[in-house]
Amino acid sequence: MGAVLEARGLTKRYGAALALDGLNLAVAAGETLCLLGANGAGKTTTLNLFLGFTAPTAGAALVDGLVVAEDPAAARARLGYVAEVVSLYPSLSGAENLAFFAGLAGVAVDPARRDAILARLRFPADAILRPAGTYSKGMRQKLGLAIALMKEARVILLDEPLSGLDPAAANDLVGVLRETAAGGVALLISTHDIFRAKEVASRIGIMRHGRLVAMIDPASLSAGELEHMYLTHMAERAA
Amino acid sequence: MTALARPSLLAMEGRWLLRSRLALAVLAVLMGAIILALANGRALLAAQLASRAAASSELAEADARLRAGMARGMPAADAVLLPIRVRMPVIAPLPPLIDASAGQAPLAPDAGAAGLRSRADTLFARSTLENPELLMRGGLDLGFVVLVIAPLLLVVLGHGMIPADRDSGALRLVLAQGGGVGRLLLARSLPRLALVLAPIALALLWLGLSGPDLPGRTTALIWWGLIALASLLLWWALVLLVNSLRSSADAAALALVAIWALFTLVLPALLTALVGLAQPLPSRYAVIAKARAAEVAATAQWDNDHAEAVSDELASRRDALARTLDVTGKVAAAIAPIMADHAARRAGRQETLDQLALLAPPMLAAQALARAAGSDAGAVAQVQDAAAAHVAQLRAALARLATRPQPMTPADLDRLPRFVAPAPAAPPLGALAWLLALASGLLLAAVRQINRLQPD
Amino acid sequence: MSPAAIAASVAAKDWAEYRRDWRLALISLLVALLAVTAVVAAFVEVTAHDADRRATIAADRVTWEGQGARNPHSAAHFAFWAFRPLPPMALLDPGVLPYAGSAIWLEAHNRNPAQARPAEDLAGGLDLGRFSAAWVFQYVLPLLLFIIGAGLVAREREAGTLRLMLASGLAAGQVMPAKYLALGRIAAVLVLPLLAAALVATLLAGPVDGVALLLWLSAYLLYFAILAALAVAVSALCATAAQARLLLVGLWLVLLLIVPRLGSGLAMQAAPVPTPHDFAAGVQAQMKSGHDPFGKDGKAFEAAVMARYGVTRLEDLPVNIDGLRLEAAEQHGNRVFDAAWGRLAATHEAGRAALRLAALLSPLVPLQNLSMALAGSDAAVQRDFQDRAEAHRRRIISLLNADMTAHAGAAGFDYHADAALWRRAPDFAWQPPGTAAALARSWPDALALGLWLLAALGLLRLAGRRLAAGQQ
Repeated sequence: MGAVLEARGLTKRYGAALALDGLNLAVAAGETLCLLGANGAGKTTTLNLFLGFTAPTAGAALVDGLVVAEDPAAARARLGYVAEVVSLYPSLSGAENLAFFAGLAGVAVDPARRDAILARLRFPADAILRPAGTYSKGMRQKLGLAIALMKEARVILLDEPLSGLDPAAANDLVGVLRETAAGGVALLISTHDIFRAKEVASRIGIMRHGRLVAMIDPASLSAGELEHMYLTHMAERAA
Repeated sequence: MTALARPSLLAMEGRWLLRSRLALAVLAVLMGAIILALANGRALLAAQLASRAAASSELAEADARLRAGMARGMPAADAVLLPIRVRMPVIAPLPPLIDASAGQAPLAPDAGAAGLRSRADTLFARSTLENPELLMRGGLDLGFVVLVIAPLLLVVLGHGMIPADRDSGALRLVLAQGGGVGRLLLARSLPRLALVLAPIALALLWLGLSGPDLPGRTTALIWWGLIALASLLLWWALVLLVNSLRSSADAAALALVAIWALFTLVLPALLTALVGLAQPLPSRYAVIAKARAAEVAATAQWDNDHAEAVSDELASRRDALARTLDVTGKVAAAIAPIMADHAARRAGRQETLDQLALLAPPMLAAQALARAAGSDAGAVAQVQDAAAAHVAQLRAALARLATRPQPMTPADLDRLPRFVAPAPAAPPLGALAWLLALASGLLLAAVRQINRLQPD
Repeated sequence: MSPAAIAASVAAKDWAEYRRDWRLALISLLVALLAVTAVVAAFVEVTAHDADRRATIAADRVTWEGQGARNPHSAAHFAFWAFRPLPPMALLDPGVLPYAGSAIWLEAHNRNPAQARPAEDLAGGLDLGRFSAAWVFQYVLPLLLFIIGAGLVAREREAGTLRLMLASGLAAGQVMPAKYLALGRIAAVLVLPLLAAALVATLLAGPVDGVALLLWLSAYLLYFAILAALAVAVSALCATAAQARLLLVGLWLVLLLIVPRLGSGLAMQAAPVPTPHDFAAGVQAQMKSGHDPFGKDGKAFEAAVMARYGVTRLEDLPVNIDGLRLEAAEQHGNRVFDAAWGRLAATHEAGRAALRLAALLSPLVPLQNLSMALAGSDAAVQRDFQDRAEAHRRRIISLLNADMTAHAGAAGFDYHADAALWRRAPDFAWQPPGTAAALARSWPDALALGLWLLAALGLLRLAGRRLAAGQQ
């Protein structure tokens, strides 16, 4: 199966600062890639380039074979995006938020399908009619995922989806993410939580100073290696 | 699927707008203002109709008395004075849509009576009984609603369509959904525009259905509606442009309110005052002084030239009439250059204001609305110029009757020139075109920006 | 730190923030330029008007005295004009004067309305008030004050700095006074130079009553104090700065633009002015129905005059009876005019009372009343001008009738007086009523402004309480 998400020599320069330096990666359907790195390592820039929120200085970001910079609208139509804090309209109910964002993507919401997706995400059934302003962070993340699934996204980009969740909610979301990937969706997750990354990822890419410095199979990672990596990671954060 | 989705986005936005307290507040202010404007318009219309009716019935009675006197027959000495007793009505045409845009109408004279001794500068001198304290506060008509209130309400409704999402972070998700912001802006624009435009359109419809059947009213309504629509679309294009810039909702609100204040509040007052200073009119006092000096000089000259006393009544009355004719003629001639200068400079000043109004579209729209309604300063000036011309014509005709040996007859009265109201001005096509051009320009700029919109 | 010191340091911080916001600085600069332009424009207008008026009066005096030998009654028909001077403080606030006639023809047998309204000659199309210093102070500065004040508390709340300030020891009850002081300081820096410029120009334009000027200033300071309190209170009550900004703009629209017009519209309908024709026709009917010493009452009048002089034949009268007839007709006319113009004045007064009700809904209405009264440009001053002009008319006509009575003798209307008589007729000289009269008629407005201040401070206090409750 070919890559649904691909970066080819993806480079982004802000003035003199090099935010991303020749990134190459590919994510296939059903695969979950976690990008791990400190703040400023280039994770968010990578997501922004795939979303078409910023144009690459060199190289290309491809979604489903489409070059994002050439046709951002077509690329976005195939993408789902879950921000670190999923910003919803607080006075509208979850269902209305869902209907609105689906409507933006040109999708009409079929209630039966919506309820099936929400059930799969273990979203509390009675909460969907409550104003989104009352939702917990975990519920927001799930609704964000539901929005992505509703438009049948081939790829979902997640920006720090687990930060700030309590352990129970994080465990829950990890399970949901695994099931989502198992459903044939490619996931690209940016995070700086190594331990959670190991739980959810099929591969982990480590970024530093805008470069992808290592690509690791989490299954092959021993506890000692994980700790070593963690320390390297933290050392860079402190630097 | 798309066909199903497109209207639903619009329907969702419309439903949510109507649910918001903001929309309710906007609607309340707008409806309150419109009801007030319609009530004021109705009262003004009624007062103007009553005033014209009173003037014309009074003059008709005077005319009937004059004719009855002629029919009864009278001594020659009295018949000599008939031309001086003729008073012809000069009634300004009622602006067809005065109840939508009052314009200059509350300050403009509506009726006068022209006769042998009339002068262009004093024809309408008696029409100033209104309470200046209330005039000073200004009026609230439908034009005020469209030009002043509605744009601010559009700003309130529209300033945050995109910036509020940027502030909350929702814009990233909105953009990531890939449907295009243009569609979203359209879905958000239509209900907001409808919320403001629909009550105004209903008010216009009500004016059309309930108002008196005045000549040209339907045309005036159509033009008025077009100008109002163009003016509000221009504001909305500006709102869209500001939405397409990378700003917070607060900054967008600040920018839009500042633009509103500059173009609606400050520039019209400032430009009008500066034009008044830069192009002053000849002093009205100078006209008064000149007329009086001419009257004294002409009287003295006449008395000097006609020193011999006349004994019989008829001859003495003829003599007095000839003296009046001579003096009023000379006074009119003396002030004619100042009056002509006044008219020319007033027209020049209006031209300058019209040109400057291109810089301040709300001012242009205000002039155009008043022009469509027939109540603009230009229409008032036209009536006054036509009245001045009529006075001169009538005086000449009456002077011929006064100087001929035979007494005046009803047939002579029928042949006297009547005041003909000037033809209504051409519709404000130029203003409409300019407003639409500006709106299109802003809209194009907004569309270009919107397509390049980024979330942060 | 003492509460005062805390408030001062908050004000200093807000001032620094205000100065660094280039948008607000730019808008403030533009408003300052606007106010200066208004003052300069008004100065030019006031001085030009005064020069025009003086030149006209001088020229007309020459015409009047040069009219040669003429019957006094013929001269009474020619008569005089009264021209209204502009009070120097009209430079600050022209008030109703542009909408009221500035010249009155003082002819025999007739009380004419004032004509030549400056507003007739200048129409820009969009009339949100006439450009003047008072206009800038009444409309533009409040908008600026609202825009600046909107963020003062709301932005601190949004940014979280309000919590930080409270955590640093500022008591919740001190926030509102501190913010009010902060806006006061910004407003003072904006307003005081403008007021100073306006004052200098006014003093240059002519002699001004210092008390009136001081009271005028105080009225505006009171007005700004009300608006600043409203701005800070709304800023504290709103969740975000954008919300506060828009609510305040809406408030500005309603309080300053809509309510006064609402009041004026209702007043026009509550106290409708007669149409000019109805008014004139009513006066004419009264004139005809009353005493007519030239017509139906002629014989009785002659008998009464002969009885008064103890003669039995008209030829034996030591005076000219036509002069007496003219004067008697004039007296009758005056009674008719007094009644008709009194009713008109009562209608205007009723309109004023109806408009004053709008003061409950907008502080601009009482402020305008107070400002115009103190500047000598309100409707009461205009009415005084009209009444004094009418008194002058009666004096002149009586003078001319008396001369006719005393000197015409048997010549009657063929009698001619000369320049000696014309010279005895004085020019119309009018001093507008002073500050005491202005205060006497505008105390309800001052009271209304005071109540508005109390209400605004009450709202500020309420907002402070809610702030304190919300933060604890």
